[in-house]
Amino acid sequence: MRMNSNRIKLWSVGGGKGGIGKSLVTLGLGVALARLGKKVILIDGDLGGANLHTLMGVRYPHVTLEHFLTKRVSLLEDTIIETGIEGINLICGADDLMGAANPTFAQKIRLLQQIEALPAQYVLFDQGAGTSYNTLDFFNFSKGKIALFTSQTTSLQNAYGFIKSALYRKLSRDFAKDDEILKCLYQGGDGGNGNNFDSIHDLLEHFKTVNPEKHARLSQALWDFHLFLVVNMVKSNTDMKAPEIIRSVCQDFLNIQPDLMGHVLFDPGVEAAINHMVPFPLHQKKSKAMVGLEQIALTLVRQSRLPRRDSRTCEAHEDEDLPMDTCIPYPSRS
Amino acid sequence: MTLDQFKPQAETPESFVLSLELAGQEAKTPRLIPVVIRNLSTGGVTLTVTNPWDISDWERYRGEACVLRVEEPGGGAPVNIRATIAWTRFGGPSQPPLSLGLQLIKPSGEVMRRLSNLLPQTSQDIKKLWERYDQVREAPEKSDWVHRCYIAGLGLLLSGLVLQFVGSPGYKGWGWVLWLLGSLGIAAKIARPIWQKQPSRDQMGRTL
Repeated sequence: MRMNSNRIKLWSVGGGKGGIGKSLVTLGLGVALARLGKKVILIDGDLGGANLHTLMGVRYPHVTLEHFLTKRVSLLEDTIIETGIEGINLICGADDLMGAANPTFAQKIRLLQQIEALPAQYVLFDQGAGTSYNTLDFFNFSKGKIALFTSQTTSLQNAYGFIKSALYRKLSRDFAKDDEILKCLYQGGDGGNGNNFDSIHDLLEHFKTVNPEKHARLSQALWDFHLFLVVNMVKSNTDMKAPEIIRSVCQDFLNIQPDLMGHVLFDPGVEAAINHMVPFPLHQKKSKAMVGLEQIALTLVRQSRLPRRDSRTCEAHEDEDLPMDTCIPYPSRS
Repeated sequence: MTLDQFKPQAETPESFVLSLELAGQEAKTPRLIPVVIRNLSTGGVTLTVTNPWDISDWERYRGEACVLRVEEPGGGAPVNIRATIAWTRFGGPSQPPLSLGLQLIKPSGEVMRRLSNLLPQTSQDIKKLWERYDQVREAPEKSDWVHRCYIAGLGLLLSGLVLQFVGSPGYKGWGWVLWLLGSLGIAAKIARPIWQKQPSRDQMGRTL
């Protein structure tokens, strides 16, 4: 299989709050991609309460991420479990045994390096709930970032908090040696010189005048933090407006402009599928949730081919079967 | 360094004055009690009264109407917000002397925005999040017209059937017309979920 390094292979699904359907959306998205003929690996990134394998109908995984993190298995590839769905393989999460929930920095690096080498066209990384550094680091490492949420108030609040935490974590790592930027980020500027930053926009404006080089680096870092929004469990038109709320606040305060990737309708059949331990797309012939996920999968494939960094040209790859006119350039930023 | 990015605003805006006018005052010029806003909920507000000792029995005002007045010393006209006192609570040694919970009567988005501007410790982005949330909730539901079409269609259909089977031969033609219009209204209701299931490509990646 020809692998192109310019294509986004690793996609993370995060969202901060538990119970919003991150694992189910990861699973459904994987099935939708497999139905498009793609080879997919799902990774359960929840190192404390893994259950993606249960949703896939796997009761007793013989090998998990824990085996890799504790070096009982040297290659991540050796933790892959075959599933009953053609085109989808699975790497199960850990259950907080042997300290797997708190991997060291070296363990994380080892894991992330090997994810890129996995034999698949797409790797979907299901993140755990919360905003722990592990979750944020795994999310930030992924070139494809999906923030999932529902229209519930708590989910909206947590989704924004998650996005903000991930962005601040990225900036704090990107500018780890730049005390001035770090101080501005976390303390809102220096009270002594009258600078007070309520938003990243204020910060950018400040550096635009005092240090254009830092302004350019910050702008690039924000540009690199490209994010997609997916709203889950949509029951009404009002629910579909939830991304508008997140997008607006992100734009005004974080200076990023997330793109809406799609929405997934609430599907009561999903619960029955979970109880039967059958992957929900297979449980019913026509799943309401899968309609949205199939649309999202198409968008994901298109977005995966987008150029990164400053390159604005759209490249097509031989292993893709979508027409060229599906290439979408990055949205322009204000 | 800690992740202290949810940094609240440090100071209460001093350009606003907030006061409470209790109902049932007989004086020509009603007494206004200075209050400070502490929190907001959906349609509710929590206030503290710094000097509650002028009124001996606050408990009796529970459930009573009141008016919350927001004045801008810059010269703008004061805004009166009608409310009822939902609860009263005296604080402990290190707490504000008296807290009041007010239920605002049909507060508009503008009223809530003004009040949120008075909050002493609010992260600006979270404030914006809830403002946008309120705006989305206040916006009319797009599917309302579908429901109205359905109800009207049902009515027309029934009327048409009645005219066809019960009415005189001269009205039967009208019965057909009503029957047809009613069916269209019901069809709109049935077809709506199909549109919702498959959002158009235009919706993808755009603000809805």
